[in-house]
Amino acid sequence: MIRGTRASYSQFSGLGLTMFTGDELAELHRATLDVLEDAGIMVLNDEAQEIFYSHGCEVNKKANIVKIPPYLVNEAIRSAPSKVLLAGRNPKYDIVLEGTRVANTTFGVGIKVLDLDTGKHRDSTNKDLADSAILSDAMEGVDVFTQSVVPRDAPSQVEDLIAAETCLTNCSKHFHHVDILSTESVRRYFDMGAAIAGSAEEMRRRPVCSILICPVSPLQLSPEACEVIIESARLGIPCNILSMALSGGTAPVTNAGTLIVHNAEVLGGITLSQLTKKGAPIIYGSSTTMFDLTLATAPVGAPEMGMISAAVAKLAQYYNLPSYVSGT
Amino acid sequence: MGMLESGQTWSHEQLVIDNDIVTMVKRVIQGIDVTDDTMAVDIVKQAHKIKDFLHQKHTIQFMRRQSKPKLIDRATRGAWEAKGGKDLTQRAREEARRIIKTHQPEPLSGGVKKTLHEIVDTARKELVPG
Repeated sequence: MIRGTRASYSQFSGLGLTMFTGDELAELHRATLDVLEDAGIMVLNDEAQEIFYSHGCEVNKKANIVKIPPYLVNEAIRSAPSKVLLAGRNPKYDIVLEGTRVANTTFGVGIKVLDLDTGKHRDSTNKDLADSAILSDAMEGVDVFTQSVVPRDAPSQVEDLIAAETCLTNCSKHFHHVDILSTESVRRYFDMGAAIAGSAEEMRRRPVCSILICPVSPLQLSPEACEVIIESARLGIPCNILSMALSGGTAPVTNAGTLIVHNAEVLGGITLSQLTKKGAPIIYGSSTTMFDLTLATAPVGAPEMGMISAAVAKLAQYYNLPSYVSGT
Repeated sequence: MGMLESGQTWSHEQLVIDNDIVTMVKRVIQGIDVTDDTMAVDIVKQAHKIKDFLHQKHTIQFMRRQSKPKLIDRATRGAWEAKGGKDLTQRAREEARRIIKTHQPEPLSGGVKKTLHEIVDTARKELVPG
C-alpha cells in the first residue's frame, strides 16, 4: 500500500529525562549568582585572585574570598565554547561534546585494583593502568578513556606524566587525565599531546588529550585547581572543571542545595578560565553525590547521584555548555 | 565504567561488564522511532494469514536494530549449563584476560614515543631526587 508523504510531522528523537522546568533552571541559576556575589568563593592562589580583581571582582586578600558580580559569570558562560572536540589519536574515535549528545567513559581515578589473576585487592600499578588502557581501547562502549588508576609504583613526583605516557601509548581513543596538579605538569602534558597531534597548533585544533580538575567543596578553588585552570586556558587544552560536593557533608543535605554548591564552584572555575582567556575550552563537570551520614561514605551508585548527574546535564544544556558527569 | 567502591577500586572484569550495560543503555536512549517503516502496518494487517513475523522481509531488514549484548547471556538455563554454567564475573574475567593478551592498540610512531619518553625523563631528572 502506498501512503502519502507526510507534509510536516514532528518526531521525538531519542529518549531522555525531563528534570526541571525553565523556571526552575532559571531559579537555580539566580540562586548560584547570589552565592557567588554575596558569599563569594575562596581562591587560594595569588595569580587567580589578581585575574579576578583586574576584571572587577571584590577580593578580600586576608580571607582569600573573591566575590564575583553576576555579569562576569554570565559573560563567562557565553564566552565558553558550547562545543568541545575530544579528538581520538585515531580520528575514528573523535567525540564531540555538545547539546544532548551522550558519550561514555571510564571512571577515574582508583588507587586499588582487584587483581585479574588472583582476585586480590591491592595497590594499583603502572601495569594495571596499561592493561585498563588496552581494554578500554577494545571496548566499543568506551568512547573516551579517563585515567582509571594511579600508577602507585611510579615516583610520586612524576606519577602524573608516567600515567600520561602509559595511557597515550596504550589507547588510541581520547585520553582524559584526572591527576595533573601544577602549571609545569600542564605544560609538559600539553607537550606530550602536541607531539602526538604534530604541533601545538594542531593540538589546539584536535586535542588528543584533556584535563580534569576539582574545586574543593564547599566553595573553594585550591592552589592546584587555579594553576591548572589558568594554564589550560592559556595553552588551549580542554579543562573539565568538576565539583565533588557531597550532600550532607560538604553541601546541604538537600539535592537542590547540593546543586547550588556544585554550580557555584564550577561556574567560579569557568569564570576564572574565561577571564584568563575568552573562548578557552572547558567542560562543566560533576561527580557530586550524597554523603551517607550513617556510614560516612560517598556511594556513587546511589539514586541521588543519578538524579544529581541528570540535573547537572540539564544545567549544562541550559548554559549551552558541554558536560561530564559521573556514573558507576 | 570499570570502578568499584565509590571510585577507589578498579576492576577489569567490571569494565567488561559495564561495556555491555553501556551498549544496552545507548540503545535505550535512541528511543522508539514512529514512522511508516517502523509501524509496519502493512504486515501487521497480514497477521492472521502469516501467523508469525519470523520470515518477513521486514524482520530481516530491521533485526540489526535489536540490542545484542556480548557478555550478558540471554540463553535458556539448559543452554547456559551446557556451555559450562559460568557466571557473569567468570565470563568477564576470561574476556578481560583474552583482550589484554591479544588486543593491540594502534601504536604511536617511534619518534612520538621517544618524545613522550624524553618529556617524562626530563621531569624525572628535575623532580625526583637521587
